[in-house]
Amino acid sequence: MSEKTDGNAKLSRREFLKATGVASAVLSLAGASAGGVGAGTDFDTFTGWGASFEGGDQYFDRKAYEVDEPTYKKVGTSRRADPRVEGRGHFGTYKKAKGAGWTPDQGIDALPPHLAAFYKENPDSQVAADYRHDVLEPLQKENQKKYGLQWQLSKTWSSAYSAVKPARPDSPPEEWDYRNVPDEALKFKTPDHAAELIKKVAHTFGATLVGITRLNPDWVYSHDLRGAEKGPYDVPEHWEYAIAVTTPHEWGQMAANPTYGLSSDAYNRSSIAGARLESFIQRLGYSARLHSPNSGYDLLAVPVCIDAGIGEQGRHIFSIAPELGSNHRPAIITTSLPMTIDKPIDFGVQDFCKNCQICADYCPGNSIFNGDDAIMTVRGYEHWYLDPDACYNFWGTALGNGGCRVCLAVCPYSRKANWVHKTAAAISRVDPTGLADLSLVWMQDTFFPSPEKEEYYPPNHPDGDGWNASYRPGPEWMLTEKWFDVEVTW
Amino acid sequence: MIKKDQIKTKKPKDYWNKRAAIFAIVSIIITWIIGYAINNEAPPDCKMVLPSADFCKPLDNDSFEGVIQNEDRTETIVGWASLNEAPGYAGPVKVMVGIDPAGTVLGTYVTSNSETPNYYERIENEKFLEEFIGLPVISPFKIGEEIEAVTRATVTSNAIAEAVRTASYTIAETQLGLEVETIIEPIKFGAPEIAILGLYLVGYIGHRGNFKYKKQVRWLSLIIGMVYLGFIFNIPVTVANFTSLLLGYFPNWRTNLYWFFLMGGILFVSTVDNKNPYCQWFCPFGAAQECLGAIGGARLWSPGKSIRRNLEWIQRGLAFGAIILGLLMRNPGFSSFEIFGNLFSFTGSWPQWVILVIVLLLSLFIKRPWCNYLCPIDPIMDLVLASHRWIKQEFRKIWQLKNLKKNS
Amino acid sequence: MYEKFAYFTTPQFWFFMGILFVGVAVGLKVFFEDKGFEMNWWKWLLTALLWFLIFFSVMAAFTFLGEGETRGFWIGLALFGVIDIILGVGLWRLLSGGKKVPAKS
Repeated sequence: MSEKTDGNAKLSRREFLKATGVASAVLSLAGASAGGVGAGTDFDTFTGWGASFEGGDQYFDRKAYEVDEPTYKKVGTSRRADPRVEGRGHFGTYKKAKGAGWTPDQGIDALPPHLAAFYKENPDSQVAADYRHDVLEPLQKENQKKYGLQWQLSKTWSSAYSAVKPARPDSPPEEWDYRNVPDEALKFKTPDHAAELIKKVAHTFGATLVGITRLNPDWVYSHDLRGAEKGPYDVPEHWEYAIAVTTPHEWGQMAANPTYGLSSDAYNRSSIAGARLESFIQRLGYSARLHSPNSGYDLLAVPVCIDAGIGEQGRHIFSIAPELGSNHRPAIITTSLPMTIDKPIDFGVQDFCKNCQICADYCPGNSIFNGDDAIMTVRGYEHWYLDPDACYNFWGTALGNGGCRVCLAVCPYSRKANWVHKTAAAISRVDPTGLADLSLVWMQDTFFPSPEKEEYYPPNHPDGDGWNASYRPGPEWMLTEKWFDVEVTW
Repeated sequence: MIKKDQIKTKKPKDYWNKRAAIFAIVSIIITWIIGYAINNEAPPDCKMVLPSADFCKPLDNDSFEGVIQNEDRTETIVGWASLNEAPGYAGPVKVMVGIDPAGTVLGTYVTSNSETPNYYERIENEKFLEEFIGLPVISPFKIGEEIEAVTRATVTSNAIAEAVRTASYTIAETQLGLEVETIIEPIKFGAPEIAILGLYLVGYIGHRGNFKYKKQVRWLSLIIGMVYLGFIFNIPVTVANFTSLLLGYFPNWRTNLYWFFLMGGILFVSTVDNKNPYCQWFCPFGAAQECLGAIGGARLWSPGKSIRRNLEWIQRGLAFGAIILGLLMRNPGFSSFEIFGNLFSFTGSWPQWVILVIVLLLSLFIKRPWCNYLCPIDPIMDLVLASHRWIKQEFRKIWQLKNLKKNS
Repeated sequence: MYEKFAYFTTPQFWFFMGILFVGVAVGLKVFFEDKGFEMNWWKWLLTALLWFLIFFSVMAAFTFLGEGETRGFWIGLALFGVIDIILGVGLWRLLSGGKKVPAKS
């Protein structure tokens, strides 16, 4: 009798354990779901915006990826960039010339000589500039009136960042770069000490990432130094070192480029962090000069970032940082303060970008190139490059805050710092075969798809008939209709 | 005494099969003719590429002269348009090109194509046709030089470029009196061609009657087929290939040799050896199902003779319908309902994805469910092999009769 | 959505999850014993790996959902789900010794 009850008891205990196993499995999977949603919504993964002004967002171990030479190559005689005509500079110079009374029948030689020379060598650029001035800009104004209410809240939030802006230099570098320098300078014990302190305070001033390098004079513009007389100039001798500070855009709005997206949040945060750092260094007794989105530049910021080991250049020609991906906007401080410099890094971006091509596939302006065509020699350096006229002309097309930034949003590296993306990035770095990269690119395109190029255009635009698409919908807190009493026609 | 009506006259084997085969072949011929007749397109309007023209005067060589009627009743020539075609992925792509009197390309327009819509959309999104505008009429129109192919639509891009080139050169020679160089594409003999020839070789060795390692060789062949024909090159045999064959839409042999090897090889082996070399030996999707079957211990599903026969007819009906539709629309891709495109190239519609997942999961437990119940290639190959067998039988009978007559 | 799920990122939550994992392991052990499976260290390893694969597949899909990527959520669930099922069936056959009724041809 007792055996039987014993047997039954044994049996029911086994049944109990099995049932517990099933219940645990079900509960764990429920936990996995909740944990997953938790990881996806965790503010701490919004790198640069979540928690830390203590430098905790610069979490990537760069030492393991340091290389001696940056991942671009110097291939020929180099020269400095002329901001009056190169990149999108010519658009502004041309507009000024037209504003001063130039008309096409006067001929190309009646333009300022540097512009005339540039347009003779690059006639397509003049065509693009005319197209922008005559067709795109008026059309964009019209379209903004028609559709603009949808992004009113976003535009207001963006404009608010103009409340506090560092000033543009209005005196020559010999004065401006020293304007807060006291009579007695505090000498650092060693350049190591200098570098470590500068980075620490840069984070307290609001920078998400900091890097230090020696300034390569080739990165300095050739003409029109801010605060000085217009014309060519030699690189000032006290511009020896360059500190790169950078911050990301707010992650929700960044994903909603180009319409809900905007540049001013990161622009202002980087500019202010840089301005504070510039003031700090000057007050220690060393020259310092801020080059930033809000106060203007005298140099190319992206190569300085790469030299400083912040990131690597990607196909869309911006720098890709391990913690932030393409989502960051740098400011540079040139200084005479001796610091130990950081080395550039190589964490697999060149190979990844060769396989990926997602930014090229979705650039609405068709300015980013697929394949190896995107690697060009520009002013003596071989690196990724694109068509700046096509890019800038799309800024003259997209509605909302202006600008575009779709390449920033679609880039697989521009992901928040949750466990899934960190693991994916780590696998990409570790795998030598490139198979991981191919799968990751496929997953990016399938799991996180983008609208097609044409959809990003306004309706009935001559270059494309779209519906003002954004990569992702505007974040909930940025929807005008959520907070305001407006008629929703979109 | 057995009453006559009690004896069920047993229909000879293949009774219904033979009649179905004849019906199928006759229907295909009739539909082919109907499709040809109803798909005669109206000649396209040259104004699509010569927008300033008032009207188009037809010339030789599928060309048109675009003219403006002036106020004083004279005419001004605004340019010429020419039509030409080149084989695309699923059929010929027909393009019209407009050239101005100075010898510059004014416009291009695709008048018809049979490409898969997903792929053709990429051509439209990338504004590929506009890349030709402004080029001189005698330019080589080479992909990779003046023209960028559209990513993931390279075959279609190449076809359009080729058609534009031929059409432009026609105008160059006939209207502008220019000399053009004939561009001969180099013959492409690369990895896909080698892979297919290799697979046929492996099959040949493995098929030899008492070959000791037949099972292992077959698995090897299947894996190679799955990896290379499936995942890497994405060139499995589909019903669209057979429809193309019937329509005469052969791809450019210089750049698509593998297609000729694949289809030619299958037809060759089935007529000469009366065997189907493809399905059991290197079909990539069959291989995928067998791999899953090995994992899950799949067994052949035999649902009972009458159900099985009905399912067989359904399978044949699907294949038949696909070919008929393709012939009527003169578009092979139109009725290609295979789901393995999703597995190997990760593109396709939602219903195809759902069916693919179901088939893959089923193949864990049932042997080759797609092959045995849905695949259209199965009944097509059956038809080819059976026809071959019957024709041989008929010839043998005739030969035997002849011999009897001789000897008597 | 944001802070409602913050609890599920805390160490305390994962502590409880750990306890549940132990529950699953115990249940599996008893289940395998009753089925008569002959287990050894590498069969347990494979079982553990599959369990964690399933667990992280679900968690990854829901992370995408939390990020607002609903398409990634569905596709991730489908893709990882199918892979997990296939591997699960394979593992089951492995554990049960592959003894199934021989194929009828």
